[in-house]
Amino acid sequence: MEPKPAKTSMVNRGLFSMRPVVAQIDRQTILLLGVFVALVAFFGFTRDTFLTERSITSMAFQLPEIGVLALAMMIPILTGGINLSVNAISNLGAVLAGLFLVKLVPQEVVSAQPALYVLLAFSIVLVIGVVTGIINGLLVGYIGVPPILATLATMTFFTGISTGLTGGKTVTGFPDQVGYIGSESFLTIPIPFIIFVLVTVLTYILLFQTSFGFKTRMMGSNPTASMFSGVNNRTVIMRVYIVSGIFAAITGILVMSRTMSAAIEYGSTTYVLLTILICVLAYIVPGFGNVFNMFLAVLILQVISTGFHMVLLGVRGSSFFKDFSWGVLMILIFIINYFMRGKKAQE
Amino acid sequence: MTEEILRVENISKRFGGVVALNNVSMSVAKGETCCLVGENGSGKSTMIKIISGVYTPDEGDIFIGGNHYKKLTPIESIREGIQVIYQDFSLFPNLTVAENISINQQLASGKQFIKWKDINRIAEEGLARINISVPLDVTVETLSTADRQLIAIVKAVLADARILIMDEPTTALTQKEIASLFKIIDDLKSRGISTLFVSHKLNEVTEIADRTVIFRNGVKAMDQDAKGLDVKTMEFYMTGRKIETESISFGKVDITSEPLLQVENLNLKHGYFDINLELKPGEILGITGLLGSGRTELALSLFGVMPADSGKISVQGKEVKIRSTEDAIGEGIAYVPEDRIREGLFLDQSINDNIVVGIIDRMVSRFGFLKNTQKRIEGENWIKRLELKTPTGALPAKSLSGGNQQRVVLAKWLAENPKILILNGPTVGVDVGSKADIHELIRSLAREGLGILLISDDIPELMQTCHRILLMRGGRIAEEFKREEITENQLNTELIGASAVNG
Repeated sequence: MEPKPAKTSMVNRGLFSMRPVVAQIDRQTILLLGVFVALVAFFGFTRDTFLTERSITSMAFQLPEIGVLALAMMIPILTGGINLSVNAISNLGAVLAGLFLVKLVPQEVVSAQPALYVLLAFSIVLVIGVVTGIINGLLVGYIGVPPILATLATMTFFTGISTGLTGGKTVTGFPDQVGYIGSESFLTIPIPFIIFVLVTVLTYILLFQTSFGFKTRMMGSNPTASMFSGVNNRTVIMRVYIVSGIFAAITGILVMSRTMSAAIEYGSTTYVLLTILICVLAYIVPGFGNVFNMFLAVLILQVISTGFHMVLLGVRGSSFFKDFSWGVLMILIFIINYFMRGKKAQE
Repeated sequence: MTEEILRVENISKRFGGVVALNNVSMSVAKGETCCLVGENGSGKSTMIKIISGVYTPDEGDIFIGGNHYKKLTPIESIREGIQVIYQDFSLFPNLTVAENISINQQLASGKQFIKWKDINRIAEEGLARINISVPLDVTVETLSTADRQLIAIVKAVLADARILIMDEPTTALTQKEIASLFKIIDDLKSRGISTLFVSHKLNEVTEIADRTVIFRNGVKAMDQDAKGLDVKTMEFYMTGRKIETESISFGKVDITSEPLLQVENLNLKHGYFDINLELKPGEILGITGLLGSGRTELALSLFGVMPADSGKISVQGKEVKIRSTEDAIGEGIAYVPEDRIREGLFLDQSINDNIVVGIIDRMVSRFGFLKNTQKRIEGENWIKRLELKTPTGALPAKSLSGGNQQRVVLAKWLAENPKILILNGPTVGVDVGSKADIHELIRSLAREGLGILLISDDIPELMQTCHRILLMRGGRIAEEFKREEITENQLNTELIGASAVNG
């Protein structure tokens, strides 16, 4: 019945074969690389301050938050779902951890062993990521609520909890150790950026080197067929939203650490829209996603954001122009994609 | 000679490097029923799309009613009286019959307000033209496939069709409905409306065609008067080879052996009642019956998709509970679904990934990483074993023809190494050549000791593969036949007899 056992040892010497890494480079990668180079060249020539160490470092500190959050958005999209509650999860985690440090544990206890309590606080954020992920997973996978409605509801719900606990006020007064991740560098590379790279690599491994990722992508392609193939769609969905929740929680830690505060309004819906924009740029569709393209898309958005900030420094309504430029970029990418893939779609 | 209404000359069409049509000419005369026959991927669909203006040919000319076109747009094609009835009929399921029939006239009139009286009048006239009656005020979604098809035909006739193109119109119809469809086609003929009937069911073609055109690999292989043309000749032109049906070798079934699968008093509300059956190792058991006879529900219960309400299922003498697909797979049961595209395949994913999806958990290293190379090799082994026609397993499954797609679904299940294989309509939409290959594969699997449940309403298929055949009627097993004790015709009569009982 079974075909002869395959000889795999020759090629498969490493932990996992490297072939699929190369397969990550596709047409969209080339398009995004082109856009990235063009933008860097444009801002680099027009602004002396753009390609300086200071500006590059500041970009590397800023982009990891939205980058990790975008990966939290990407994984549900691969299954044909979406997670609108990512930012609400970040803030809920940060708020709870913040309250733990400031209100729940007496200050003298915290200051006696600050490192321990900061680690505990960060663990709380991650636990919140798992719990919120389970709630989303239950709603989508087991009760069958359409993901866009389920996560819209949980977005409001999680934000509501944060608001109730803080009364809408910003939580501050953390021990200095909280700020370590958000403000320090390791070998001149900002630690948030290292974390972003690590999460990106982790996402790649999850999606392309584990059976969970394989099932996730197959389910995204055709959930009926995956069910008929013996894939337990519910478990896959549950895991997808838990991973999404954990990634959102990591963003919560990054934000908390950089700003030394926690608040419900941080990022708000703009962040959710930006993560979707990144997924669109990276051409993430159910069943197919490219982590490398996600990385490029995040870089592009940061370059636009910083570049426009410099160009329009002091101009009234400059923040409006940033949103405007993101919108223009999104439409441009749609048009380019139409011409690149239009012919293929016709056949 | 009769008046020619449509003629295409020296049509060629390429998609990328693939030649879909190569220098093909054909014509349709007024009032003629022309059958266009060919395997999947032979260029039939491309030709339809060229005639209806969806594709522009790379080379060649189109003449319709004396007008010459180099490029034909869909609008021009419709103006020239070419109407295509696609397999999905392009109707609005939430609108009523009357609205669906009259919608084109309503849109064409450009009026902002709707006159309900007009809608009903147009619909009544349309139905009267082809002499059928369907209630006007029910929504289309409640109608049977056959009735929906009639509505689509009425729409086409009302649009002053001169040529009606029907793409595989009989796929979802029962024998009785097919007969009445053929009557309508004859009726249209008497009014001078031509039909281009696209099919690969050859027995239907012999029944309805005035002239038969056969495509093979993008070229016209045959074009001749249908009189005296038999199925064997057509098969030869379609496949370029002779299909052997005489030298079939059936595996022997040891009737004393312990049954692989035993079903006792199985019930499912609104599905089937009181089902008892036994399947021995090496046996191919056919289950036939019309749509709605409960055959698919029974299969889905055995595979855990629609768990049974009551009754007993035993595998190799041991009673088992099957509440989910995972349970069924755990017991060594595999199911090749009816709807290959929707339930069986991940069209955009690679062929290899499609094959290994069921056994992916076995392809994980100690550290939890996927063995991507082993995955590829497993896929390519199956591609070789089942003689799948593809340059590489890395291509998406949608790049394959119907027969090869079905092999991918089979490979997926064989890779699981099942004991019991349930096949639901394994050769629906599969061309003749692949069909014979798939039948031989099924028989060889049984010879290796698998128990196979084959659900099908294709009588020749059942006769060429099964040891025993169960006939289901209204959710019950009505009769059981041994293959040696019944002929194709008798079985056909029994099956249609069932339709009379079912209403």
